Amino acid sequence: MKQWFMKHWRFVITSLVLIVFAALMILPIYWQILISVRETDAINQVPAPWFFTEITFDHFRRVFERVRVMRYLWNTIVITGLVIITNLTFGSLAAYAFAKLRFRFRDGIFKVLLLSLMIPGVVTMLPAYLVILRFPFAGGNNLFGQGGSGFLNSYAGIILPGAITVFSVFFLRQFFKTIPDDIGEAARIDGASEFRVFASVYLPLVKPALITLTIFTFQGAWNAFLWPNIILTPGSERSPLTVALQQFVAENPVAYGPMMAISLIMSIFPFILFIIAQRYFMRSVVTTMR
Amino acid sequence: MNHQNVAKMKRPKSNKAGYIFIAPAVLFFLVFTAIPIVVAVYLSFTRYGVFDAPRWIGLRNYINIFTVDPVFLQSFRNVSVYVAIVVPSVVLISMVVAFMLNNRKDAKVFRSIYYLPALLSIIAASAVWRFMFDPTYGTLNQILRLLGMQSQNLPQWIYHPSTAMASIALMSLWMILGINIVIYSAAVRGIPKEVVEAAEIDGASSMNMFWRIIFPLLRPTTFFVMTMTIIGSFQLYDQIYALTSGGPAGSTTTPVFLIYMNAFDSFNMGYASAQSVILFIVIIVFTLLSQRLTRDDY
Repeated sequence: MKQWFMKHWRFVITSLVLIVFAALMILPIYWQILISVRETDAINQVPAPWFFTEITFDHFRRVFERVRVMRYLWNTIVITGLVIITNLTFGSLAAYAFAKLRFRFRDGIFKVLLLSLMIPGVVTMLPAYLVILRFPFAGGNNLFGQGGSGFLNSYAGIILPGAITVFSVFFLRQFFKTIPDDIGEAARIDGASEFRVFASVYLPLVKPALITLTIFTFQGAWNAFLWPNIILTPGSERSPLTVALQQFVAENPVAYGPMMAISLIMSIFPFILFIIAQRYFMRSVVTTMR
Repeated sequence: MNHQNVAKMKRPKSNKAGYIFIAPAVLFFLVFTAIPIVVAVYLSFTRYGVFDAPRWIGLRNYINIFTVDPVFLQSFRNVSVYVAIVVPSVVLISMVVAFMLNNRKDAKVFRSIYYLPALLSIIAASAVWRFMFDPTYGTLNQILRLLGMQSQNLPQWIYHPSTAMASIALMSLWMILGINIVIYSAAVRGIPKEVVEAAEIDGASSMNMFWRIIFPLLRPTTFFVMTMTIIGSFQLYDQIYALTSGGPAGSTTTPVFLIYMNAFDSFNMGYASAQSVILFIVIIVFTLLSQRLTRDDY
């Protein structure tokens, strides 16, 4: 035993450090689950027991009945789904053109787009709000954007600014670039349209990149708070879960039971996706470095 | 090779389909990025409250930000407190953990566990940490009590000016460590085996190996992580809104939180635009710095 330890002490100690660190990282999530199934009386107990005692699902029942979590969950799903679809569709279309088609001003236009990647969202936030508010013919507006409230308080208002991001175009372009040009030529010679060449020859070849971008876009849209919170009126029917949870917390700052229940419901979807597509999550992290 | 040249010759010089393919992306770029930038700069020279037309006031907003109104500079000081805690911790912890995980069979399991907090939205995480930070019922003070700390000495976490920003930093650290461990793990894997083996043969201890070999070789990654974390810190917002609303006593007011309040709470759009332009310049400086420092990495 002693000999074994002398030989492997390095492994034992690093293992211990890694396990303790893992326990610390999980601790808040453990308490999140613990509190979500604990009765309110027991939550307000000092010192609080560290293990599951009497399990109750009252908080979950309450948030489904009184906070209408299903409604907000649906909003989050719709918003996230639409943002993913538009980014994948139009992002890949533009990325393919920038990588594989030849046309005048192509590289100039791309360079301008690329430069804009450096711009932080907060700078465009105020004017983008004005664009949404003054959008012609939307929400009772006239041609000049006067008279109504534009896309404020609507799905469109939440989705549009992030519907086709420069990042999506830039990210996918890198992958289209790695595919040789002559793959599409055969199809072209057979008389396929440019769209056919794109959709049935090139697009299937960048599938891993599309999955990575889906993960990326999912995380951004699912967790978005600042922008939807600006666009929506308080208590809006179209609130995503983030905005609804924050509203609940503002109104009930120490209702920890329901708070944990909502935050768990919100987190389950990313957790499941992570289990299914872990590889792509890790890849999406490393691609941020490029 | 030859047939490729033939194919190239058959191809039209300028492909009109290209314009149609990029049109939606370029249109959205113009409407939601390019035009807004111009508008932001214009509005920063005006007094504008959304409901009446903007009025040109020259440099007044900028002058006020730096002379009359101390809050904006204070918000940068608050961010520097956050940066001073988060940046060194992120670099050191992620690097050491990635180094420990290297060549382990169970590395994937550990990395997944460390990544879990990053999956939560900041709003959800803030709800969780609102409980963790609760001075009476919260887990953190419960641990301190177990360690024997007297009740009157227990910290108030997000509820006291002296600890609020540090508390926010602690929560953010918890969320971003996993991502940075993944980044460092990729970098550690990229270190040539021969270098490490040569050091081992020379009898270098783990400590020596880490500080003399791993740490310097990972410098480009460290610069990347540092500048990215700093740029992220300047845009700190969600957890501030969710946990402290910039308080107590303005100790957690950040530039973006201030811009939000000026624009959408007091409807000083012109003033908020001027602040966002200044923030933009600060962030651009760090972005360019980052590109310069990490260039030799790729």
